[in-house]
Amino acid sequence: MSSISDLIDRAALLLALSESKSGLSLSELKKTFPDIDKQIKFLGKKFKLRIEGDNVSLDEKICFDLYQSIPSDILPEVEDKFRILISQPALSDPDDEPRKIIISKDGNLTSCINCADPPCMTYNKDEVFNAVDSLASRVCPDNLIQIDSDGIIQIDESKCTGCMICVNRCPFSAITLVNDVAKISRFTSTAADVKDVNLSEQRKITDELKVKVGDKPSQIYSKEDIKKTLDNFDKKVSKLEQNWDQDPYYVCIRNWLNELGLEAKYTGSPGKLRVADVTIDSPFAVGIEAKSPAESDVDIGAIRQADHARRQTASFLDKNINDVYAAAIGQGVGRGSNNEAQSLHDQEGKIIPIMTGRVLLYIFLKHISDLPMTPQDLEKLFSDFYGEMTLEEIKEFFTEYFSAHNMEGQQIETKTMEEIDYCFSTNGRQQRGSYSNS
Amino acid sequence: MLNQRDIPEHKNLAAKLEKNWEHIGNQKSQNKDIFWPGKPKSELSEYRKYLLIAYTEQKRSAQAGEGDCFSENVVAEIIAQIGGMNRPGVSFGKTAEQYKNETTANKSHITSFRMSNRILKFLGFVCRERGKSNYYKLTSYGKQWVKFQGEFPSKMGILSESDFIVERLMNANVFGVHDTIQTWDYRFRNRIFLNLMRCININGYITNTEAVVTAFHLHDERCPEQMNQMIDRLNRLRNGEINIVDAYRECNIDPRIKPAVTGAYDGPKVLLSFCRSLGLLKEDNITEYNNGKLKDMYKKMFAIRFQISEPKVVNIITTYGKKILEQEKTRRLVGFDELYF
Repeated sequence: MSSISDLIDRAALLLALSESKSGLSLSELKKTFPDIDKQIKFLGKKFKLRIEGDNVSLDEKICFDLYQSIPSDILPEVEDKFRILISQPALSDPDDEPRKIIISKDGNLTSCINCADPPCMTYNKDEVFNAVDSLASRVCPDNLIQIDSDGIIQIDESKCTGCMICVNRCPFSAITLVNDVAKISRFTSTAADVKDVNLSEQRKITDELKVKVGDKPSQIYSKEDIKKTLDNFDKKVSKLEQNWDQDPYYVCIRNWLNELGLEAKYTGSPGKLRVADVTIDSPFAVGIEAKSPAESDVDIGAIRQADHARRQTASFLDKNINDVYAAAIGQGVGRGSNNEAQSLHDQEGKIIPIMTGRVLLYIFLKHISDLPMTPQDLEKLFSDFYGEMTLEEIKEFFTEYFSAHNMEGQQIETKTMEEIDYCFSTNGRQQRGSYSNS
Repeated sequence: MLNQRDIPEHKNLAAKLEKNWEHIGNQKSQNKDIFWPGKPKSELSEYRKYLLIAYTEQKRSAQAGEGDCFSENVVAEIIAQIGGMNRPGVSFGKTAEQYKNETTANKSHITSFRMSNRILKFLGFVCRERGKSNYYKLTSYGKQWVKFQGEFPSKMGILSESDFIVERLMNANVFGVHDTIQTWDYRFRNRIFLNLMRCININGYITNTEAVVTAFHLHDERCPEQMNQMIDRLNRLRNGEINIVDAYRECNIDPRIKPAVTGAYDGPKVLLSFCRSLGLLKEDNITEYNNGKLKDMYKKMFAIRFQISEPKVVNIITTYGKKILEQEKTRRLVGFDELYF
């Protein structure tokens, strides 16, 4: 039987040999292991060792792990010796891992600089603690924005539905919708330098450039562009194409609401035991029942669930039930749901608006272009309407908006009303996308 | 008892969580610090959160001169207090009250965290603190993992969290269903994750129950006979030579004892979920996979009274999974016991 010190030496030596690619110097090993010859002889009997001159290496691939194969009783001693042998610190600090930042040579800041904590990719990193919403940090509903193996932010354009969230979040206007998909504008190799920096440097440079570029100018979209964006989104998330299920669809609704300045959470993921699929906490409270294209249209059950979501949200927020709104949002509105919402209003005075994703996307597009919304404007969506938000209700909502902002009778009002007619006046079932091609 | 909220480091952590959880709790409950984690035992992102809480406690303990390690019991209390785990539908305050006079082993939040911590240990993210019972510390891998932020799997520079976890999982030596507590510490002989992938690669798919009687039953992967038996058992099951009850009997799991059957059934759930979240496997409905050809096979396999019903989904290996398996299968497992003589 071997002594404990033999076991420690052998374990450290074997770990070092399996980690080291070019092998270890026997003369160097002697400094740590006075009886190295004995240990090499022992290991040579069990493993394929290659000894060439002063160099010893392992000639086979083994699985022998410091933390998973060594008994805890001798782990500190083995670890100490192992670290000496391969002369490397425990592991590099991920914050010091090299990251790429792209610096424009001529000061032009309309292409992707490869930001630190990219806003197109992630919400506040502290959100990792958000236990209500396990996808709190996700910006792209389908998680299509990733950092590639070269450390550069990339969008998987093949699956992009054009929800416009990343477009709005990029502080440098480097993401635009081209042919209905989000595309990142890149610097040419001659126009910019790619620098390897650590996390703190990347953050510092990003912050400096954000200050330099200032507030993002609003992009004005034509009615044709808006309709194309709405149609494209409807079509791509529908059953016929990507058939979005709960996670991407609910995250998309949550993110639109967040981008509109409300504090929304995706509370309907499995295990969260919440009725409301999406909850608006502040500045006013709403319990939202959502229906993804993969589930169904907003049906009668969804209207009842929306009412249940309101009650539960009120109890969670410790509010009076009358201070919490309810809503149902889906890609389409099913038969009977409008009647159900109307009868709930007529008989019990309950207000449950039914919105399609298309309506919400339209309001979001107007918000980020020429009609910025305040929470007071948005509250009217949940407090003043019940049943399906059709063309007339959308017009009414914007009429109230213009009235509240003293913009009545101005050219923009006429233009917006025309735009609503243009975007929402098609056949109801077709506009939802799910059935248009069937 | 010391209230963990009084400790500044935990206060900050609790404040962050409370911001998001302040309204959680059922109507009757006065305790608003409750939450129910989503599938904590099978979500790698939840393990990262737990590990970060343990690391915060370890740092506090080191600063307070109490040793550079954390106590399982203390971390379990912290997680419970800041709302990290609870029994669904029961407020933690009330649950804790019920457990007041119980022994530590009967406190569910502590035993739950112990199980999670054991998985963290198998993955090499924590290790025992020598000489202190129930005290652990983060390994260098653990300290590296808690640096990752945002949605799982994330990236830190070019360092991919997914690759990092796959590497840990491939080295994970976990006890099989028959291993005893004495084997848990250092004489692991089954790279359960790798062997699970090997089983899946035989026909390209596996169900939870099949995993129980194959990779999870393997005692020592260094023994070719046992490896052959594992593969043979899977083939006989699929050929219809034996049914699922026979397979359980072969593995010495009494099919009549429900806790034994369901306990073994729960084991693969965690690993299969890890595989799916890392993109090594994907799930498919048995009626849809391979034009429904598997349906009859599984119907026959489960055509006997059993505690577990016929499976509805199969786990299929992905191209990425095959690539990883190809890389890993030539590595020979070395047990610490091989250094003895």
